[in-house]
Amino acid sequence: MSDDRDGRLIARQSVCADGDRLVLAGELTRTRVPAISRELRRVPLASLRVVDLSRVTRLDSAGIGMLEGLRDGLFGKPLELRDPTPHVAEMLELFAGEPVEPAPEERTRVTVRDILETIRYVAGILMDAFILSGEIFYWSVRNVVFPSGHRKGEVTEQIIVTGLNAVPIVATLSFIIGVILALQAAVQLERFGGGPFLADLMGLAMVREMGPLLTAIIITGRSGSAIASEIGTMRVTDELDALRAMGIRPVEYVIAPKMIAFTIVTPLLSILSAAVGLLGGVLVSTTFVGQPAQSFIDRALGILGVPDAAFLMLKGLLFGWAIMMTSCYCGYQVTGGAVEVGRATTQAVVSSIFAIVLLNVIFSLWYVL
Amino acid sequence: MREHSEVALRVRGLRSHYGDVEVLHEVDATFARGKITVVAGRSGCGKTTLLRNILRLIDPTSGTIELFGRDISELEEDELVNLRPRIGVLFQNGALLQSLTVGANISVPLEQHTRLPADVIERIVLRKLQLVELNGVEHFMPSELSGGMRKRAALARTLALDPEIVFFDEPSAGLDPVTAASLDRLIVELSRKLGITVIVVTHELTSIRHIADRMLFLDAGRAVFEGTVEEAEVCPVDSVRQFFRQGSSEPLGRRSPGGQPM
Ligand SMILES: Nc1ncnc2c1ncn2[C@@H]1O[C@H](COP(=O)(O)OP(=O)(O)OP(=O)(O)O)[C@@H](O)[C@H]1O
Ligand SMILES: [Mg+2]
Repeated sequence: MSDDRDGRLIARQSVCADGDRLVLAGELTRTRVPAISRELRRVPLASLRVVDLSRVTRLDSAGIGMLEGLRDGLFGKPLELRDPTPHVAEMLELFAGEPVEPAPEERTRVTVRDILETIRYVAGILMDAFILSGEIFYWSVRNVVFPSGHRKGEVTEQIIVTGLNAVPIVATLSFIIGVILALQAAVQLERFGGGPFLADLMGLAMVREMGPLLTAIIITGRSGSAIASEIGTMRVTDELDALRAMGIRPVEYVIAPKMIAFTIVTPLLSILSAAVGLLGGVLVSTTFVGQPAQSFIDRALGILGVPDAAFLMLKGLLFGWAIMMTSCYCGYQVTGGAVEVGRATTQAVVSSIFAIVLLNVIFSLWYVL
Repeated sequence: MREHSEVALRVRGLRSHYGDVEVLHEVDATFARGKITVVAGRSGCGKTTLLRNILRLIDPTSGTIELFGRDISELEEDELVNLRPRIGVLFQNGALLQSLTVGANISVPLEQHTRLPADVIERIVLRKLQLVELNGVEHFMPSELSGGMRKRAALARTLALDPEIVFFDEPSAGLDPVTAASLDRLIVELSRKLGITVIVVTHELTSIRHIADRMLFLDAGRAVFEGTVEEAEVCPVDSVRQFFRQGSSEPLGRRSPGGQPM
């Protein structure tokens, strides 16, 4: 508070209009320029032509910036800078330059051309993503046949990282979700004596929807983001180019092992998730509904057929692939620095979840038809 | 005819774009076999871009790149993959794979391009590390090394497959003078003893005087001089003359003529 008042006082003393001369006095340094600039806005500039610098004692870059503003007409009209002391003249010579045109701002008005550009841009993205997916599939299949394209043991390592290490979190979350779902459903079903139907409901919900969905979301968060940031970082640090320069295809060496691991792991994790979710149902059913575990499981499995089991795995697999493609694509888009890696990672997670939901819609339609 | 066999790499009319911006304008250059050619020029003049084009990490807009007796400017990646092991590159910051140890990094090209047994690969790795004066770091992760060590480790990887031609992008940038000098000596030895063709991007005048057989000068995306160092030192072209008078030139930001302060 008192600082500000001091500042104003100093500013009043430092700025003074005298005929066509604007007299600046004292230090024009970065601690004082803010107050002086504010003060300048109060001075009627209309009659001024010249800035008198003879009483300026000290000048730094902030002061020079302000003076350049005055000179270039930032406050309404250009003024001439005059009579600097030797020190000030030296500073001006060292740091000030000719008027610098700031780079023009990008246009913000939207035209038809912009819209067409956007459409072309989006189409380009889809095309690129499509091509990348094709490459990933091709090299992954080749890698299964000729496993020499990647480092020995890389697939196993990836299976451990994306699959095995995810087991505890997938199991825990699925169990909790299973319990929550079952509780909600049980309360409703009990109201009209439909307790035994809990098994049917849980069976369908976990196997058809929640199992694959939960798995996909966890995989996105754990592995999708990791893949995007790994590839993005490798781009920033020239690692991908270094691989290419060594005659090694990044898609084959870096991505294919992950893709193979995903293909193995996601259906299995989906099964795990559905099974553990059902266990949550069993818990609720035995304690809350009073239906014994054996009959719950019999009923739940009874309503499911072989196609459901196949769907469960297929869904898990397709979700996994969608996450893989999206994350790789986002990682590949990084061109700049570390900030972009972060952005690509976020983008990978958001886009993957979007892709999963979209796929889920298609699957739901498929079930219904 | 004889001239022909002495040229390892010839670039003709090379143009390159980033988006809509043309960065290289019809660059012509030849690089002598078994010699060290230094590529010099002011920051941002397109030296790295030239390397990336020659290495086909960027696709040139037009022009030809003759390497190993053929034009590689339009080869598909499938064909390039077979040529690349004969070419070594040291990137500006090393570009070691962060997820692998130094030793594993050096064995990457050996594992991917040869069927050597693991113990032979291990021996090669140790030899190459010795060559760049980095003993006992094979189990370190790249992040545990200093910048200069990382660069030398990357050089060991570059040399793993005994390439016939090696590109260095600013090898001594960020190195202390002693390490830089030993790297220079190593570059000279590679060229003299093994007959490797070496292309070095560098700004260091001392380093140029020690290693360069020939020089290529770029200025704003154009090749403005090609020849020996002695010729370069007396070259009348402005940007080349300025380069050799480095110490006496104007401070940064004062170069534009008529840049009168207010
Ligand atoms: N990825 C990129 N996208 C767009 N423009 C780029 C990109 N990389 C480089 N450029 C531009 O191309 C020009 C040449 O860059 P290049 O990296 O080849 O310069 P250089 O001679 O290697 O410079 P330095 O000595 O600083 O490494 C620069 O003007 C730069 O702005
Ligand atoms: Mg460069």
